[in-house]
Amino acid sequence: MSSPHADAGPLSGRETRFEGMVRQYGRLISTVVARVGGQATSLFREDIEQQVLIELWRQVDREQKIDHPSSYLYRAAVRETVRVLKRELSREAAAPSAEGPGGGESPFQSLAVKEQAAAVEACVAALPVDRQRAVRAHLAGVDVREVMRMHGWPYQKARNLIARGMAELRAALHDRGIHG
Amino acid sequence: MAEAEQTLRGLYALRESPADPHLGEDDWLALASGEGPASHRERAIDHVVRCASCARVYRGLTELEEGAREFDKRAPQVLGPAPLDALGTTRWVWWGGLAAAATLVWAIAQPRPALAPAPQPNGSELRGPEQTRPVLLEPLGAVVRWPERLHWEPVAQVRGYRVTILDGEGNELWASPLLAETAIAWPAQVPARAGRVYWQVTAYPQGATDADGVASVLASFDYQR
Ligand SMILES: [Zn+2]
Repeated sequence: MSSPHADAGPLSGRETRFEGMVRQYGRLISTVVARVGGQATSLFREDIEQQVLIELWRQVDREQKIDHPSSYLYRAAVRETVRVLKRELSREAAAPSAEGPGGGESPFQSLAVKEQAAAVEACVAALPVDRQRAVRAHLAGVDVREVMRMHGWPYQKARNLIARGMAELRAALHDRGIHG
Repeated sequence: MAEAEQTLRGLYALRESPADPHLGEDDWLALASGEGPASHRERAIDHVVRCASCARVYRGLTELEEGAREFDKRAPQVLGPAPLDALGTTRWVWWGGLAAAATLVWAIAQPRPALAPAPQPNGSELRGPEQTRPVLLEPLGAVVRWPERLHWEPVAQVRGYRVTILDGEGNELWASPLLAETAIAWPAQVPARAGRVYWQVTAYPQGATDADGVASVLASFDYQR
């Protein structure tokens, strides 16, 4: 692997640290992909780490001069994480699943579930915009502290929007005969 | 109740994917670096919470950010749970702001001075750049004495401030009434406790409703008995 064509000033004598950080990002990205990308991905963790390292160095090599190595590497790591995760997720989606959605259910049951899911979506979509944002995040499993950061809300606002939005959603579903 | 919640989440997970396209690489980069206009960020987040596949990429980038901070103290803090943000830094660290300190990038990460003013947000704010968020002054960082007061910088044209104190889990310990001043004595209702305590000030612009408060960063201090 070649060294980065980094800005001679701040980086001279520090290439080892740069290389070290590239390696740390390589390991980190493969860990993240293995955790988020599902079981199949974790089997290929070492391969992924190797590919990530090569790709990070490729990105580094394309640059003539890196003024801000830390921010530069972080960006490269974000791009690489997104690429690898998207690839793994589409591979997962394409793989034949042993148990399809609603596996083991009768066609009637799965139709009923589909209709209920559509009702949930319709009721969520009818909520006022901020409540809807809070409820969608909550239903997607995002905790209140993450909701605060996602939307720049203070704690009470995030918590109130989730609580009120969920209450409103339950009432709307109740009106449609769905008790959740 | 918890079971009903699981059912709702399960049903929600079965929804159809949203019609708008998945986020592209540049969208992800902007989101993960806290860059770009607030409207773009908002649109991206709105897609992420509706799209199971993008939600997983978001989760991955949150973990990347968290992991990166362990070996690169200058990695951004723009995703993940809010209380991890401490010491008066903005939630959405702006790489442009870091450029000025580029020559230090490779130096061993120094702790940020606790009282350093937060860098100006670059429009990543959801509320737009015209509304200034309160900048917290004290207590921040490691403190050896339990604070006697909370103090922040004034914000122009506000009708008041509200202070919230939270524990390490994000549970509210105390909230103030609407205050005209920019300092308040530490509330007796929150006795000294070892560990990390978070606090936040929300400024309420004149003529705006309570829902339109502009919150400061969620700052913290660590008290060792
Ligand atoms: Zn998507």
